[in-house]
Amino acid sequence: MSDKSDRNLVRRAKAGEIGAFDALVEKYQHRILKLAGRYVSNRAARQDVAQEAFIKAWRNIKTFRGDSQFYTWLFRITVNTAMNHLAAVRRRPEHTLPPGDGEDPSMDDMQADLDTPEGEVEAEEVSAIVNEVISELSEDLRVAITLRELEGMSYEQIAYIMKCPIGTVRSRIFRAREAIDERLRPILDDSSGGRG
Amino acid sequence: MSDPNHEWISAYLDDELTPAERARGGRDLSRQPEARRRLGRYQLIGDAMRGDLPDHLELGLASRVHQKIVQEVSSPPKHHTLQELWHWIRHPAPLAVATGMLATLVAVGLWFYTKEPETVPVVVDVPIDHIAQVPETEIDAKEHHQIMSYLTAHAEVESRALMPYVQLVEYDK
Repeated sequence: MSDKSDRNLVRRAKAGEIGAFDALVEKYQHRILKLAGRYVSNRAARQDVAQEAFIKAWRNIKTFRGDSQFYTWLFRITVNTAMNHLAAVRRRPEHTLPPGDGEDPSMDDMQADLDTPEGEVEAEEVSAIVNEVISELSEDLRVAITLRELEGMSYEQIAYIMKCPIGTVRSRIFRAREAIDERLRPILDDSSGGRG
Repeated sequence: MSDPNHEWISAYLDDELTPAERARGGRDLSRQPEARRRLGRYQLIGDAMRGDLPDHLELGLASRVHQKIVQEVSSPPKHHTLQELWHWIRHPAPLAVATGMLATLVAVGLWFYTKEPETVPVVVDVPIDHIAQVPETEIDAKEHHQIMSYLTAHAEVESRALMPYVQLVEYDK
């Protein structure tokens, strides 16, 4: 997905444009965080792994030849970073382990349930809003965004199915996203403390 | 109401721009933080629809990564080398192992290069049959008697399987 667009951003990042790399981070941060969570149960450690993976990707962006998709490359870096983290945790003397750092997942879950620190939002809350807004959309917008996001269809395929011009598909998908974004933004802005 | 000026961000995410639009989009995303954040939120919507979200969204991640990268770009990479060196110095175990191995290598090398060649004593084992072949004309009767009695005495020992060979180094004429 978005391979050509990613290539454009990667090319710019290789040339030293931090903003282009920032766009890639904005795009993949949640997926990378979820991936890190498969290996590291502790929340803070998971964030550290995700952050380190992005930093490593930036440091090595010039070595990325583009044989695979950027996300595939980033995926591999994240898995390696998570494995290194786990190896480092195992090497550490037991008394220095931070509470719940991969030692007892049940404790981590309990800890995670107790509080949601500033800067974090429950995914459940986001998913509930997204689903609610989608159900309220007009049928044209709902079908267009669903075919795009869930079926992974191109605009041309969606235009064929919906019997409308490609430009109309593009506009419908955008309007659907905007409608959802309008409802999500206040929650995301509140939690991020109005980051700039 | 949605601003149609942002429609390209949605199309950019879906890889549905023309090459010219894509190049412009890449440039704008690189330069406009708000456009990047919008791209991130559009991606978030798709991830939420597909159930691809982690349990907790960490909203400060992108800005923390940005700050780190800016720091790295403004500080030279020498920083990392010093950090690694400090790591080695700070942890005595790997340093001790490395020093020990180095010292052993140096000691073994010195020993090899400074030792003198060994002198090996040469001892010739002569089977008893060979002794019998010494010509009798070369020794006088007294000596012959001495030798023969010596050999007889040791041949007895040999018959008891205690000494398979006689070790003859020298004898006086």
